[in-house]
Amino acid sequence: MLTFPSIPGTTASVAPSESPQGDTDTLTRPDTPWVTIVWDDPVNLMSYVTYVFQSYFGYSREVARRLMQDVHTKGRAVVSNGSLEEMEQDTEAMHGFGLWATFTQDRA
Amino acid sequence: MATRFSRSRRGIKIRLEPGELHLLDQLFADVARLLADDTPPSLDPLAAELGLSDLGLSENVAPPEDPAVARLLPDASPDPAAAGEFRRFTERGLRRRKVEGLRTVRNTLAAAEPGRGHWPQQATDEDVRVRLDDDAAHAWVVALTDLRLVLAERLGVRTEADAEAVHERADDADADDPAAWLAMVYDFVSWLQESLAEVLLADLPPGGEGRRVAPPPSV
Repeated sequence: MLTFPSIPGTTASVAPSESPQGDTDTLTRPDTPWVTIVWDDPVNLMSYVTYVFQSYFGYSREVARRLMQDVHTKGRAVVSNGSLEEMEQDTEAMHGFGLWATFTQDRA
Repeated sequence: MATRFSRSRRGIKIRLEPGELHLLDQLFADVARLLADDTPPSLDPLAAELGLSDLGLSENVAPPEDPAVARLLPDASPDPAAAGEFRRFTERGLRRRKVEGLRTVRNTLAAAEPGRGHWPQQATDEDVRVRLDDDAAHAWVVALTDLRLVLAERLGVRTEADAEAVHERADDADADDPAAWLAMVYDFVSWLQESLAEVLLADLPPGGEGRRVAPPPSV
């Protein structure tokens, strides 16, 4: 089982509680793809979020709108999947755009 | 009063009153100040010896104390260890890129030209026009986002209802109420961003670019 060292000062996480934290099962399945999740916020505009999904990922208008609607109505949407490195890159890009994104291992 | 952003043959343009230009310039400068990296680079002597301290790694793994800055640089994982590690590798770079984008935007404001004779009839002699190439337009739409996130945090916007309340407060604003003034600024910046996002969205191919396969709809 893979365990992370605890790092002081990181407990005040603002990330949502729906998480794989404590679920060590996911950490023992290295072949499981990772996902990038974008979370809803009351600030970002629907047109802007659609623009981000279309311009960064190269998705069609239809897909970008669907993902934006999911973020808005369901509170979150999986916007991309792939390797851990790719999802870290996508998450960093989303933060660059001002969207609230996290990466996690897909348990589906 | 400002116009909306619009696309012309020579790029994207907007007309602003000098007061609006000055206000935006100050607000963008404020966001850049908030994001200025005040943490020292890695002090690990081994990293310095190996020349790794220039890689942009940070010793800092805790979220920023200012909630507005924490919203601009949120935790990337619900796992605190993973979030801290991500922060160590990305935070300095993200701060630097955001500050650079804000500088690009302020440069376009500094390069604003008198608007007389080039605008619809309602333009006044005092209006100035700002012209953006594609890179500057991208920097603008991101900078407007970061500015709105900071303003929303200062206004206590946590929910859709909060956002609606801010909008109503801006509508019947009392000039002597500082929070109402902030709400008006937020409304103005939101309006600007909406018009720029619409212009940029219209530029993108509706069919997408096919670089990536979208994940299936979540349930």
